Amino acid sequence: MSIILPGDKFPVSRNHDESIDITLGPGLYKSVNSDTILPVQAGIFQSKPIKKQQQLYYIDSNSRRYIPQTNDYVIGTIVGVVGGESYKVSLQDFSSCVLLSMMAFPNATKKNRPNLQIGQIVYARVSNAGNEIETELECIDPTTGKDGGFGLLDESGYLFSITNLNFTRELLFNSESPVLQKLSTRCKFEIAIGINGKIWIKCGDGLVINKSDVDMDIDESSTNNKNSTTNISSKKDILVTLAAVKYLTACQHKSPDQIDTVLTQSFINI
Amino acid sequence: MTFKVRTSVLDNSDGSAELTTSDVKLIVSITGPIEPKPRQELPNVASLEIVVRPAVGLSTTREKVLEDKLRGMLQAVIVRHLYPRQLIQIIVQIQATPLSKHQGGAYSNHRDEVEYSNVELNAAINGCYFALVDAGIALYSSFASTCISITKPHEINDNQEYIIQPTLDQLNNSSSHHIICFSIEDKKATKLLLIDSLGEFTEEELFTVISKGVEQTELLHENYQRKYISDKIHNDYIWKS
Repeated sequence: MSIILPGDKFPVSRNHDESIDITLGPGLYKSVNSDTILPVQAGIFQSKPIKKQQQLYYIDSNSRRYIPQTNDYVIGTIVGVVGGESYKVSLQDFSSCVLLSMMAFPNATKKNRPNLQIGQIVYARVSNAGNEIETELECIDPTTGKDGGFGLLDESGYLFSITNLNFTRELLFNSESPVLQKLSTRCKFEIAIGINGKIWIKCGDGLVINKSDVDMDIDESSTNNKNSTTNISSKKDILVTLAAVKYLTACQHKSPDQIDTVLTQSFINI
Repeated sequence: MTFKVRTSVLDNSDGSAELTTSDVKLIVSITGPIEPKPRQELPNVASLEIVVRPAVGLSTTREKVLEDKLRGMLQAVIVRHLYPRQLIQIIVQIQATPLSKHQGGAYSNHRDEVEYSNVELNAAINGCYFALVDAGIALYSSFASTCISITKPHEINDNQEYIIQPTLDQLNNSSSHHIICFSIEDKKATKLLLIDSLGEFTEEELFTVISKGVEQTELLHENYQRKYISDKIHNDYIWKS
């Protein structure tokens, strides 16, 4: 593991005669005035060949503030409508809001628009990002034109935040990560991971809301909540969901050999 | 010399560091890049909001001066045009100062000995470095700061001593003290980012102080900054097998 600090020398010597193209990833910066490459973040230096004659260099580092990049998968909260054409979506508290066009849904037309309410959450892909333009999201898989798993995340699941963004990247991109595999030995779950530090998870059927439950809460006072018809399996699913959330939040600070203990501890009452 | 750092101490900010030196203790918190208020927005670079809060009481003009000195220095190292129309908020909360330590936690009204000392500025700069790295803000280079004092001339032989990281007593017996901050590229001190002096001194003395500063900041970078940051990175990737 080679650790690099801001201002260190770029660890790869370059010969201009060699016809290898260099692609710079996060943490590296080519200064405008000169031809030198500068590391600007502290982290682990990585280098990977991506194509023939093309080499990718980047610095893997943790951060807690999400900066949108094209093709990122994110979870956003609808916070408003802009000009009747797009939704205003918040990806993280205090960050600038991004736009989600009403046309960026499968089968959307001028007459057939999606009906999203303020406060609902969506799983989306960043379709357009850059410093000088407003960031845009879309809920379509660009290769098929279908929803591809994007779109509204319903209220049966639970949304929570992971502060370390490097851990959400690990969960999303590393299919061999033991964290989710171990969780699947305990429960059946559906998960949406946004690399902006938000995770939506639903274990079993999640929270099942019956129309009658909602009506009863309004008609009668909350004293009747205990007698409400929320079935036992739904209650168990909610408990399991919360245990899974506890487990995933704890895992970002644990080493791989501690995962089993964390899992047992989180699911201790279930 | 004690120099202890803990990073990511605050759960709700994007980057934070707690720095403890022999005299000063402070916490630096970074939030950003976030959406600025319209009046703070700059069209092509990130704006910086710097707040220094004293250990006791309200902030005074003294804290404003500290903020301005920090701003001038940080503007030179943060790659600000990577975050146009964004805000980076930097808050320095001083927790203990050499004066407060000697006077039971409060500033006294009769500051008859050291009226002002700049050691807080020194600690604030070093604290900012760790907090900025923790927040993942792009920096042109690393930077480190050190404090050097020059003793009053000896009565008999006129000898003067240079003291690195002086204590309060040593500051009281000094004719001047200096804060030197260097940018560090590839483990070598390169650019002088800030120098702030208090007291009486000659040009020759100042040059000696600067050359000692080069040495000291390189040592600080090699011995402490690299160690604490590689610990931090190992901690961030603890789940990696």
